[in-house]
Amino acid sequence: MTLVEAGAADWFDVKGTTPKGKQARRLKDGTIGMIVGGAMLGILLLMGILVPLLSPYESDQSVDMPFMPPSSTFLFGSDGLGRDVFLRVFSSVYLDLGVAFLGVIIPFTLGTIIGIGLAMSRSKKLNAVVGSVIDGINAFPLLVLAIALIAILGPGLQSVVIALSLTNWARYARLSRTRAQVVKQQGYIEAAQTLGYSKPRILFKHLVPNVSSETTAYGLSDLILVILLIASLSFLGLGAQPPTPEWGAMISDGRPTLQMAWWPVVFPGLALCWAGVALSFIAEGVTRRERDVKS
Amino acid sequence: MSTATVTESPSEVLVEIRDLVIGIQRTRADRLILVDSADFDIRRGEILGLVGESGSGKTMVCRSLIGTLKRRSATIFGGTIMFDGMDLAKIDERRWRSVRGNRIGYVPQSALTGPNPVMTIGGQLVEAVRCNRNRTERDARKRAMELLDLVHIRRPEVVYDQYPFQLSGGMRQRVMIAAALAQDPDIILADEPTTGLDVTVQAEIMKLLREIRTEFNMSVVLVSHDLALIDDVCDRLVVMHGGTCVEVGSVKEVAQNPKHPYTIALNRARIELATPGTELITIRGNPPGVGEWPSGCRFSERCEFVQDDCRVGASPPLLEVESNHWSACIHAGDLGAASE
Repeated sequence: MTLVEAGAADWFDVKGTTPKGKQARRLKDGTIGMIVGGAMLGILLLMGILVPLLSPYESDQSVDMPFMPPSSTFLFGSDGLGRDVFLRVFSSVYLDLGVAFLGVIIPFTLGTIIGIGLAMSRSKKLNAVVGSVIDGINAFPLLVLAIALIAILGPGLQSVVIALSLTNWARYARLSRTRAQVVKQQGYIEAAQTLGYSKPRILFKHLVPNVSSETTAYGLSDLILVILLIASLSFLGLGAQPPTPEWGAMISDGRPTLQMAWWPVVFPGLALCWAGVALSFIAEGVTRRERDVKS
Repeated sequence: MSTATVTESPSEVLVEIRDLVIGIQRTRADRLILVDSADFDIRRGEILGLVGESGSGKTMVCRSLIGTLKRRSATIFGGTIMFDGMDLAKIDERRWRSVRGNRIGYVPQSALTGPNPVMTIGGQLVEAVRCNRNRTERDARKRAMELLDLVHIRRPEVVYDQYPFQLSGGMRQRVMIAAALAQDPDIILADEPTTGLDVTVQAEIMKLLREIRTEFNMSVVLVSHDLALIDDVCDRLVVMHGGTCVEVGSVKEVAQNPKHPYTIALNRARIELATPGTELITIRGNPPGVGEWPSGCRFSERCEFVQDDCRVGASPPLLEVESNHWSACIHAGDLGAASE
């Protein structure tokens, strides 16, 4: 193949079957975003392991005078109790992201099961009852409901996860019910039926993946919201309790003395933004890919 | 060539549909009848065209042959569909599973949403191949490649790993045909398989269906409202109107010597016969709505040869007016003269 031929082939290769065509496609379909987002998240996760491991101090240990500005020894300075902000910011990575992950995956699973169940059920009564519960939950802002539930359960990260599980499923249920209603009418479900596949096979291999591919994209962007929600709850004193290092709680701690020392507030805030941006890059990439596959 | 041999010697009857009644049970006492007294045979190795307007019941008949009426909440109320010693109108879901795909294949209407968007083409074909038979992964892969080749997909090894969104509508429909062929069925049902595809692709799909028929001596049931498409490909035609079969016969007979006023009117309204500059010929009136069928012949309201005795009694049954040519018109004998 001559050079010219190869170039022309790539140019016309819209479907991305040649290696070069694939590369061109990748730029278009948001893989770049996924790589950048993945790298950002990777750095955060890596620092979350390395910093607490390599630091000679404990996250709740006083290491310096209070309110020392960032220096070469303590990159992010020290907070009001003289604790290392750098260490505390990275000690919270797994706590914040982990709780957020739980706060998405549990509602996601619950919601998908309930949503698909509703779409498959022929009972109008069940649909009406569960449907109005879903609408009722969705009518309230998540934060308000979560605060109300935590008021009953008592503050703490455990309550945050329970509160999220009890409320956030409704969004996933609504999404997957609508999606499942569309999917079950699609040609490929009919085709699967006419090919003699068993009901469980049609459900799990054909229906569920097509429903959850849609909800996964939503789940990823929801993860960002949930991270912010957890930080907000901790900021309000309902989530992580001191001295647990947690971004929202740290911001809350530093707030009264913000005029004197900006670093105990700004660095956890930056970490939150970093995580949010990384995840939204990934979510965007996944959504684009979905869109491509669906079209 | 092959068409001639099939039509000349009436071959073995594969499916015998008798007095099939399909409807929806709305309440305990209220039944909405969609199809009543569908009456025709499917013979081995023939391409049978099922034509009619929207609401004539052709899709319902087609679905009753693959057991997916429930998807549209319809049920069979009466009649028989005899196939290989089984009455498909009465067998349960468990028995159906050994028929679907295995003995009777189905090509869905919607080519674009036919293949599952989240699975590769190869994955779907392998699934179809392995579904009812125990084959090894490697065997199934080989068979899937064969199938892709059979439906004339170029570069099957590339397409095998592609997702449906990377294929054109025509290719997706070929994949669906390949999936329907996976288990070597006796009959392929194609419910308007070329909806949404452009004309050249339509022709290719039709050519493919003919090839398959010839190569495997399979029967193909082609549901369509496009007469031009149908009489190119089919051996025999079943014309449906208002939930009944009004005429059954070989394409040649039905096209050149129609024995039912509806078929006559359909033939006259064909767009390729229209003279440029003149108004298109149509069939007057609308197809009778489901549940609003007139008494007597259901075409009587629109028929130009209608007589008083057409409007009374039950819907007239199919009668053999010539050998292998049935019509549901009680005046079928007089039509030849009248339509000249």
